[in-house]
Amino acid sequence: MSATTDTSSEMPGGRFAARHRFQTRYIYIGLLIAFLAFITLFPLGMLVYGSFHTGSPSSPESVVSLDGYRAVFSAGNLEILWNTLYIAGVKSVFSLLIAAFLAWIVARTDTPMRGLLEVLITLPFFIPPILTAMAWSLLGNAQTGPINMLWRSLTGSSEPLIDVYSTGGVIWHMMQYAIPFMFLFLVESFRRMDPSLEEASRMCGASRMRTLRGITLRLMIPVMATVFTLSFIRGMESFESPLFFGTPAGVRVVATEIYNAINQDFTPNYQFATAIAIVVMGLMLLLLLAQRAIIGGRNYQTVSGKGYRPGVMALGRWRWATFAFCLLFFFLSVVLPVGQLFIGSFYKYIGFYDTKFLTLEHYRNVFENRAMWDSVLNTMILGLGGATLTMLLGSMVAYISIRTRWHGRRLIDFMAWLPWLMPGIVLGVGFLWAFAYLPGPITIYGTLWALLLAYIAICMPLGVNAMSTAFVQLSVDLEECSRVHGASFLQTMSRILIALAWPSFAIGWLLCFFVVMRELSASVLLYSVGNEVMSVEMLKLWENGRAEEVCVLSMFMILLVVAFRGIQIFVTARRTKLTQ
Amino acid sequence: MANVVIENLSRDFGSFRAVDSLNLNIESGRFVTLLGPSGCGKTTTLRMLAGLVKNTEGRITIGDTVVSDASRGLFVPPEGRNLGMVFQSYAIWPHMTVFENVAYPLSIRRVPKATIREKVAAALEIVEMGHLANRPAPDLSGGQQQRVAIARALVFEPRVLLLDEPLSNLDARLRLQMGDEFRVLQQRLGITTVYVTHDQSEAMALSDDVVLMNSGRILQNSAPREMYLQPKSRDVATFFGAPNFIELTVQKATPRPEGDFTLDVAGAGGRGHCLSAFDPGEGGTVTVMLRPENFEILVPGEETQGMAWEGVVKSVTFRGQTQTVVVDTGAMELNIEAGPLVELNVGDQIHVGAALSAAWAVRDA
Ligand SMILES: Nc1ncnc2c1ncn2[C@@H]1O[C@H](COP(=O)(O)OP(=O)(O)OP(=O)(O)O)[C@@H](O)[C@H]1O
Ligand SMILES: [Mg+2]
Repeated sequence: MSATTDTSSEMPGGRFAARHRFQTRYIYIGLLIAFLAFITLFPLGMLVYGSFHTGSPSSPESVVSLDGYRAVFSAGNLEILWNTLYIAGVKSVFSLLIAAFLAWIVARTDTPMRGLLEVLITLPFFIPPILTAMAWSLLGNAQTGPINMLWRSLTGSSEPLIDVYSTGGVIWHMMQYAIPFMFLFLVESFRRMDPSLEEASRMCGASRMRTLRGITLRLMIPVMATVFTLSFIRGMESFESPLFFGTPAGVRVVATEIYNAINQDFTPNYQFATAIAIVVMGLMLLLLLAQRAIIGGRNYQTVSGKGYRPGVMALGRWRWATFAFCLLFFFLSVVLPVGQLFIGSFYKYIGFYDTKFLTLEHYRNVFENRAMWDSVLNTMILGLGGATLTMLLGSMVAYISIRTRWHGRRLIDFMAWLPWLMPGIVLGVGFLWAFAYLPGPITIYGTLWALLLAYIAICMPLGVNAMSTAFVQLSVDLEECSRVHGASFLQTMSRILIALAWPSFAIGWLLCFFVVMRELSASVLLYSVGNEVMSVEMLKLWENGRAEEVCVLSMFMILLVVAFRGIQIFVTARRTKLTQ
Repeated sequence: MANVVIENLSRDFGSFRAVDSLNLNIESGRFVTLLGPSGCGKTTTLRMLAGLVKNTEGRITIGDTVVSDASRGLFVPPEGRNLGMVFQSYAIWPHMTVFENVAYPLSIRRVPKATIREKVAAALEIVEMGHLANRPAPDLSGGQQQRVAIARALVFEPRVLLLDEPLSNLDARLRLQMGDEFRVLQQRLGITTVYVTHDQSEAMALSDDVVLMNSGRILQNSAPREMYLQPKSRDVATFFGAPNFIELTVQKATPRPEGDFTLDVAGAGGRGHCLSAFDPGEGGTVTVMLRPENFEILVPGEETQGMAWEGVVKSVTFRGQTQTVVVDTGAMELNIEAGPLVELNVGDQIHVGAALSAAWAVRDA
């Protein structure tokens, strides 16, 4: 048969083949639904079950009770919820102010080297939080931290300048991630705004400042509200920041409370952990609904029709001030912590920076440490496997929810997005029980599979999002053409869509890889001895007081981050070139 | 209302000169259109008037104030110039209602609330949008947004109104209607208006004066009729349609009371009279422009004041409103747009002529 021959439905064979394909397609979809349910609904179900029971499903004396929720809402523990909301709120407000300012500088002023600044400002987002948390623990220590030592020697004061072990420290550490995250959204929307909206205001007699206040920022309100909500939710989930800076100072938040209830208490208190997890997820959902209700459909169409260059404001001499401000952020969020780790890796003892203590001993120790290399290997395996599987599944989900009219697509989409509302630590607890009480002979708990499945769940929303945007842009004709010519559902998917959407696939893949590499909160609950991943191994070393070796491992991780980020920027640049 | 004087206005983008030493004098209350092909510098010129682009050379005076003078480093920013502007994308602020959009320039000027209400109502009445004052701006159609943009630009009684292709986002029918309405409005208010377009018929229909630009320079600045019938150069002539150009020899030049000349010309298989802005001298050659739509088909033996040819029909394309006829006169071919009523066939012997006012000698530059 030539390629142009249609699969004629008049031929008996053709009709049979069509029905046959119809069925295989539903088998694939059925498998997909089952898998998604297993990695999302099942752990969620276990969480709900756990929060209403005093014991595990297999324990005979387990009874239904509301003790978990009673404990969450007891006077002493309400403080946990309040702290969580307070920290998330304060950091979101400050981050939004700074991120909006940075985005405005990069998108709308003639500040020098804006392209470079953009790359630098977004870089901290890609550095695993555990690294910067460790670095700041060293940097901002009230007694021994170099910042405070320098402060004391400069001012002669006996008081420290900063103490990272405080609520402020938690907030500051979160901000280093929230600012680049918000910046990414805001800079794009500053750029796409039709400049004539602002010019019209100038023509109406408004000064630059008045225009910025009355028009530009007002137009940005919907976007800002959206990023604020996202950042708030991320703040409620954040694990590393409160673990490193809150717990030592007695600042209790939900994520660390769950961790402590399961890992640190003598007998794990599952009921309390699951109940507070459910409560915090409920709060997040409320927040999202509130944001939807307030912003609603107010997504202003401010994108200009004509591909016009956005108006860039000439700042005169001030442009060096804005330039310095951007660099300052990069300095504080990347140079300082990475520099600390770098220096720390070459000294015998951190804090004693004398040339006679310079050594490569830690590098030697790390390279000779088998456990360490095993963890690196595990992270690589899980990163490659997790990112690939997530992107494949995410492509299917995105395809089904965007390109088909099938009724079940809402369920699939919902399940794929569900982990987005489940903080890593919560997902970890859910999986812990889900795997432990898995019926049948399959053992997942205690193997790498446990981590792999958790990572797939965590990355799924990301993967679906990356592929959805790509599929929306692709023309329908292409794929219909292929299907008319007799390609099966799976063949069409893989050949046409992945082939054409590969840049999105690649970028999504890299993002997933980043997520896996930095993931700590779920891993720390799901790893088992012999199956450590890098982040867990580092946490263990850190807790054993081997900060110098952690620094060495950090350097390795940062090299990876820079390499992957470079590839990502390259691919994105090529994609924009392709679509223009 | 104010007049506008532009002297030696230039704008460089790097080494590229987008606008090149422009001189233009716009009298108070006139409707002037900047017309020209894409990229010729119309928008740049308008934005320099507005103060949205800084001129690299030259001086702009509006009324009795100099708003920009590059040699003195003087530059008044847009908000200090008191000019109304209508943008191609309308630039209606989506976070405001129609009323708030129009009230904005007044509240910037700290006009009392009650006065704002009156003036906005009056401005919206002018553009027939009074009933939609409380609509959120995103719910408006293109034509309605256009009206709001005009109301917003007029409400604070600016000295000059600037418009950059305001009709180009509308469909063809609405474009004609809005154009006519706007012209009536402008004449009623008597506001000095500078209008940018690349649509020649729009420019002709709306303006008192058309300024034809190319590569950052002015080719011609005159009333539409003159621009069309008496172009200064061959380039201007070809910008409006595809005229016939015929090389002829001058036999005699007679000055006319209007200040131009009647030329007796001959050659290319005919003789007759044409008009000219200059006297090329006896025996000199001129290029005579004849627009296809200005020919008439004569009955044999009929005389004209202008020029006439005998020829054979070479091809006929019937288009409905007109028919395109190519006539072979032996020495050359003439392109003619004839009315639909005359029946013509290939090979017919015909007699075609052009009135004196339809034959115009152009300079080659
Ligand atoms: N900010 C700028 N930077 C560089 N070149 C510019 C800039 N603005 C305009 N130009 C160039 O100046 C020339 C004139 O542009 P302008 O926008 O004035 O053209 P126009 O006559 O309005 O054309 P159109 O009919 O397409 O709107 C163009 O070649 C354009 O590319
Ligand atoms: Mg233009």
